[in-house]
Amino acid sequence: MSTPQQRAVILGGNRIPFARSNKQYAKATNLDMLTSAIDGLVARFGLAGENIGEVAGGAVLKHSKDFNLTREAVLGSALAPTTPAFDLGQACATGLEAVVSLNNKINAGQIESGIASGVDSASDAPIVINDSMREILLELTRAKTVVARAKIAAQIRPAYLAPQAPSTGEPRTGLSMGEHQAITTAEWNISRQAQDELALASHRNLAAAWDSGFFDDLTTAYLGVSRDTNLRADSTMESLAKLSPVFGRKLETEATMTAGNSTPLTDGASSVLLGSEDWAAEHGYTPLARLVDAEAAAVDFVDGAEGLLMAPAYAVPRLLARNGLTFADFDVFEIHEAFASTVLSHMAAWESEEFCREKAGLDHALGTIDRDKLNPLGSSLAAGHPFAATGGRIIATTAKHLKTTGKKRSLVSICAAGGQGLTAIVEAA
Amino acid sequence: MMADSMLPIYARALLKTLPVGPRTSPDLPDRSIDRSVPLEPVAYAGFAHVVGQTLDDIVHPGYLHILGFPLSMQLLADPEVPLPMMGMVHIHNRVDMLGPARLGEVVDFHLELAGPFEHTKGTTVEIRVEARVEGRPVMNEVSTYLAKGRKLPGAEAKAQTPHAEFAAPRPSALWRLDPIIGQRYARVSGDYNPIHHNGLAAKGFGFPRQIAHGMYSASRALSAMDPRLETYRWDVSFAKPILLPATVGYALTEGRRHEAARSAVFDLRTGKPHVLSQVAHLGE
Repeated sequence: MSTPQQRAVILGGNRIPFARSNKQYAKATNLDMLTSAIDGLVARFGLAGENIGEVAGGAVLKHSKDFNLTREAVLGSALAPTTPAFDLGQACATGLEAVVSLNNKINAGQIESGIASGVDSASDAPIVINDSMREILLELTRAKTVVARAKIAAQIRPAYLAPQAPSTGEPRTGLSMGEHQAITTAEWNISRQAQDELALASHRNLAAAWDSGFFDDLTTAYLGVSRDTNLRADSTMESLAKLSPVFGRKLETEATMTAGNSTPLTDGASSVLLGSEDWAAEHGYTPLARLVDAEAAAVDFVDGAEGLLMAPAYAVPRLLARNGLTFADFDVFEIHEAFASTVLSHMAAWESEEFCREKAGLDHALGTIDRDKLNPLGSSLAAGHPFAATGGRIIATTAKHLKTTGKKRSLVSICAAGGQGLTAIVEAA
Repeated sequence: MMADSMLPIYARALLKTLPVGPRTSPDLPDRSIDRSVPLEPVAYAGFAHVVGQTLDDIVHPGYLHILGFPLSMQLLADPEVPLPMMGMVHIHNRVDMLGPARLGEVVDFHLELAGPFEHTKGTTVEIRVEARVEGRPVMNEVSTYLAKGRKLPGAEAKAQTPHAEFAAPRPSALWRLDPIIGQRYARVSGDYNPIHHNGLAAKGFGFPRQIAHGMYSASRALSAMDPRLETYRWDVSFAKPILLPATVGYALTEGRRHEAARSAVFDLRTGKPHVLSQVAHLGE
């Protein structure tokens, strides 16, 4: 098999500042926010009226009316209405999967340009009626006579009318993501202090990046919000230490996961512009970086054999092996902070001879990640995590970071619901 | 469907609880029922989704139980059965799956009563079910019902499965069970026993609140265990009933999903078991 052409480059990105749920964006829909993120990108790159090869995007919490969410966003944007789009989904890895997918299409020569996007609103969430009520309503639509309808309607009970909001619970286990992670946190013996330190670093790094103007050409203010609202620049170890644990309180071990070292529910949208080198040159855009490879993994968490969010621990060794790289070859590690302890569990696994030999199939431990290289511009603990928008945030951030610092290579890792993980290597262009 | 046939049976069973004259014999009447039931996709889909089973052509063993259930109740409600059907407790269920039963096929059920058997807590009777499709055996089932506190002279001695010590594992799943689940399962199974959807009726039988159908929990546990074996034995012991609403724990206690394994549904607070299930290879 010949090596696919590496002609795709990352050109830039745009997102709206992320906001904690039920605040400023409480009434903004996924379509509103996604359109805004794309339009901001279009404005920054002067793409109004242009045809883009394809726009890819998705949302994790999605209304059924939004079956064509990304295409609808394109139609509402300044892009040419003849720009095709598709929706995709891989839970929290949706945004990164959109980047990988368009990157590969450009490398395959199928398209010359693409916008990878993602959005999520935890505020304007789809609410469904419970299954009993839904079954009765569907039966009503099938009934042909008034008598038949009356008989069916008579089965309705008051309890059936209670709506069901989406939760972060895993469908097969009924455990929330936090409760799943609490088990993993205990298994890897991740301390409260280590989690709070990671959270603090995330806030400090993100605050410094905002202060330095780093995000000026990566974000567009929206609904009066010009900075990620979850960011607490004045966080201290003391303030984090005061928070009570919210997950893992029923485990035998000490509960260590708090609202401070777990990501909050967040609203937001992001987008990333990709193009072939030729397309970029024709438009006068300077490539920031390229996505050279990606690897997904999944674990069997259903009966507790592995932790729900541990898939990246398996994907990264495979990704590095295929590319002949070690941790020493990376200048930056962008590991999505679903929870501080998720990042710490992955790093503990990579430092563990036992895990790397017995589970990841390596000869020895993968090694230690230099903390100075970890999430140098902050990550989800500080920025928040509108599920499908996180991949785009990370890719645009790390691509620009490589370009502006002259650093060479970044490892991107995102864990996702369903025991999945998606990882990628980004190199300076 | 089945739902239609069950209410009169419960009515008859309720009548039987009235003290109307001495019954002639402690023996069970020598009766059997044969009935053919088509496996109908729309009715089955409702059942499959309620018990967490992905809908495909091979029906869940719990559904075969349900199809035989109204017939079982007809046998138990027979006036010559010297035990009251209402208030009988389903304490154990054993299913041998001998081959797949597929949607569109017609299952021929043959049901017999066996017993009465001695039990430390009363007297048990068994409903033995054979299910065939075009002469091919697909399932043998033994459902054991306990009449608490009733002793019958002449009941046959029978070895009881000893109560194994149970230590609650860490739950790998939480089941949030609303009271609706009693109604939903009744709708798809036809088992409208009022103790499952009416708190007052449940009180009448000594339960503080309505309780989940045992076969609902058992069938859902089997869906989670998801055996991918050609043939297998599915053994279920019912311990404490689940009072609704409840959030209960589920976990495998032995083996792995898709294979021979044991699982438990248990009370998260007390650690006491509700339903203990085993999937085993046949002939072991």
